[in-house]
Amino acid sequence: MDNGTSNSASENETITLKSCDGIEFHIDARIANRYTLLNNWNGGESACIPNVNGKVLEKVLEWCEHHINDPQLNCGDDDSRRRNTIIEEWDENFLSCDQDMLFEIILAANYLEIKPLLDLGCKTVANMMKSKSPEEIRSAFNIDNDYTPEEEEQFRKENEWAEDY
Amino acid sequence: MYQNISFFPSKMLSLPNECLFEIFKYLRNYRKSLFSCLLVNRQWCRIIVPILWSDPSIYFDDKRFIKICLLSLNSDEQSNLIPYKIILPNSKKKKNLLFKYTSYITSIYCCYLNKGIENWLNHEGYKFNGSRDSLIYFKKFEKIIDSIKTSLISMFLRSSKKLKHLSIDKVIYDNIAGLLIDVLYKNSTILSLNLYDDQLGPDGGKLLAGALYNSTSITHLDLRNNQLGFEGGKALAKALYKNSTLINLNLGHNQLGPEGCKELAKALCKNFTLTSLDLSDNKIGVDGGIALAESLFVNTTLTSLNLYYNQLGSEGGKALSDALYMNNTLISLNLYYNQLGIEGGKALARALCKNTSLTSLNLAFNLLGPEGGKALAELLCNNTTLIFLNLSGNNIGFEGGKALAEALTINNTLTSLHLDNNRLGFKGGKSLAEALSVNSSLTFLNLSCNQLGSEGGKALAEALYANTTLTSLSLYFNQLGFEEGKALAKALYKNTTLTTLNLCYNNISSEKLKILKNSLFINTTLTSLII
Repeated sequence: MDNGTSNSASENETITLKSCDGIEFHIDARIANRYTLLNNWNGGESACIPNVNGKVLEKVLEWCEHHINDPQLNCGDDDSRRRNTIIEEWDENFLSCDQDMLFEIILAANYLEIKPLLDLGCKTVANMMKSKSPEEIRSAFNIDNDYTPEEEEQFRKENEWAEDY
Repeated sequence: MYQNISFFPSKMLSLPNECLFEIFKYLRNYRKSLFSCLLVNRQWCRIIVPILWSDPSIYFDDKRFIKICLLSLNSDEQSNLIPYKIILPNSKKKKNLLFKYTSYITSIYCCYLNKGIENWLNHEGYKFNGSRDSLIYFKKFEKIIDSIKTSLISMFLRSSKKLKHLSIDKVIYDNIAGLLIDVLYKNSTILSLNLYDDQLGPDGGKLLAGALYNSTSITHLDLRNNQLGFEGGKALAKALYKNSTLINLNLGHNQLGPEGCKELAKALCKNFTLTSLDLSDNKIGVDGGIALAESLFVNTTLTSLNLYYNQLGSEGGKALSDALYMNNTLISLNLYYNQLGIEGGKALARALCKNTSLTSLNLAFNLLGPEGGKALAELLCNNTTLIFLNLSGNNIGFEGGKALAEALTINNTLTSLHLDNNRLGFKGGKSLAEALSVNSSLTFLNLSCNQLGSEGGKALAEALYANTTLTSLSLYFNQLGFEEGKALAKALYKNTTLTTLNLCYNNISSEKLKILKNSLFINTTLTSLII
């Protein structure tokens, strides 16, 4: 995590980020320092972010700002994080947006390598799938079934041992 | 074929597979939900199958799971079962599985398979000649289960590409030894290998040592109880010179002897990865102890050493003590039942006054006596790293107990102390009680089997008014009466830290015990009471 050179940004320093549709955001330089990819673009005072539009970038930056004082994650504790699916109240409210926005945030977090936000988004989606039947999941996320009935049946048979729990 | 066609496909479909993988991983412990997701569409199933099949050991008892695994046997693995005339699922209806499911398995705990195979056989209605209760029937049934198990394990070893944890039991080991050694030579994914109770013998040990010599993946190896003997130990020691991945090695109950131990000790001087070594019950004796001590002067990686039941004697104890003046990495040392004697105990106590790494020391049943007890009390006055100390069964007596009690008024780091079976008597009990009202680090104290009697019991009850750190106190077999019980209950109305209390085998009638039980559970913080 610590790359030794760029963690010296003070509270007052700001940099400008530009979304793919040209909207500018002035952000605390510490946010850029925290996340590798934003940091890589931090050549000067402003940086352009392709692939993420203004509406989504605004949400992502709102999250980053709220979590600016969180302790940095260790890379090693991957499994311990994954064991719980509990989400804090602020984050839960933050992600109570429409589904498309939720997926846009996940995509952006993945693209910008903001790991904790990516985890949070994935956790939220996982929670939405809990205790649902395949049909309920398809309709909740508007997904088509591309199995043939025979195939679906065979799949069910081959994995039915997992169905009980 | 395409049902449910929608005009606005979900943004979910735009998520790359790596994101979907992250999402489904959160459902790893919610199999039913994961199963539902599996049936959603083809893209999802390709991501989920590897997750669902990665760790299926808890389903090894499910006949449906066993059935799918049996469908994955190749012709060699099937042919093992011919003598038993078992009709395998795919010989009825030829149909290929949709995935190579077993290739995704990462952990195999062999012993869980028995139940599943038995369930499958019962479900398929297998009946054998002979009465159901006869021994012959039982033996035959057992043999069939073992054969199927052998075929399944062979198949897992052949097909699994991501195997990390493997645990194999005795019968199966004999059948698949060659295959396993082969896999170990080629495979670079296995991290932990568990072969305890497998009767490998010296030759099996040598084969395995060969694989370990070359392995760059195994971190945990459990070879408890395998009659490895000197030859097996020597071969494994040789492997430790070259191997640089093994972290945890258990060689307990293997008749290594002093010579086998010497070989291992030499290897420890050259190995820089092993952190935990278990040599319990290997008759390593004084000579083995001296050799290990010499290696501890040089070794700087080992943090945990278990030498339980090894006849080290006072000389072995002294040698280890000398090493502990210098060694600064060992954290946990188990010397349970080693006839260290007064001299061994004194030497260790002196050395540990200078040592600043050891936090856990087990000296139970070592004939330390009152003198040894006093030496360890002296240690507790000077040492500030030791957290766990076990002195059970050492006949420390009231003198030793008194010295330790005084030390506990000074020591502020020890949290766990075992003093059971030490003839402390009521005097020792009273001293310790006084110490408890001052001490603020001890959370666990075992004073069982110490003839504390009425006076000791009352003093301890008194101490619980003042003490605010102890969470567990064991007082079984101490000739405590109903009065002492009542005194303890009364103290516990005020005390808000003690959660576990053991009062078994004391002089309290069963009727009185009932009364005591009720009063001990009302208005106290106790969560566990054994009486």
